[in-house]
Amino acid sequence: MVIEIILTESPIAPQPILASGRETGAIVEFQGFVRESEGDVKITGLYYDVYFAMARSQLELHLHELGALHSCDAVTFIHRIGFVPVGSASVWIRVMAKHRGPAFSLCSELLERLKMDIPIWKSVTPNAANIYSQQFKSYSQAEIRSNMP
Amino acid sequence: MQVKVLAFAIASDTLGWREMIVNCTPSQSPLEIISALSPEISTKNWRVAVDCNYHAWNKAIGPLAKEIAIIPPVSGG
Repeated sequence: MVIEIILTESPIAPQPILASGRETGAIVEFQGFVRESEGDVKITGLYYDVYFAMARSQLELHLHELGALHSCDAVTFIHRIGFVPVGSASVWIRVMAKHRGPAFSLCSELLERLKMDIPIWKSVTPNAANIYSQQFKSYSQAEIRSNMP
Repeated sequence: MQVKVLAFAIASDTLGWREMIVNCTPSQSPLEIISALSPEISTKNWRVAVDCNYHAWNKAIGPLAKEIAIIPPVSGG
């Protein structure tokens, strides 16, 4: 299964479908958006903090496990980091497979694991993101990509 | 040996720091190391990772450990 992981400060842009091949029968896409309320509080957006190295390695680990459980051809996972305004996507997933069942299952289980194990945190306050942002820039990369065969 | 200790999200807010270099021994557990830094801190509901792998709070970090991370409940998505 081809795996692509992108953690980025930039707005999430739909990724082109790369070489789906003539055996791809199902493409499942999911987008998660920031809503204008957190509980009873109106917000302008959310701040996402991340432990880059571990988020990437844990995503790779889980995607390898899920790839063994569900017969899929490719997964692209994108999570936006830093400030994400209301109405913007914070997460974007595409799963490609021969059949819809495995594609839906992998996408759904990936989201469950994201919310259990992947070290990414959202906050309504900017404190963490400000600290994060300084650290992020020290990577001197606009995006952290991980491609696996 | 020296290891880097990272604190994220509410753990960082609670402890008042994001990153720290500490002296420790391979036989020490993450709990012992964090408790030495902040004796009053409660790690309940928090997890810990050693070199990007989840680790038991009371298990020795071992001689190869480079980085310990305090992981409060995650909330990506």
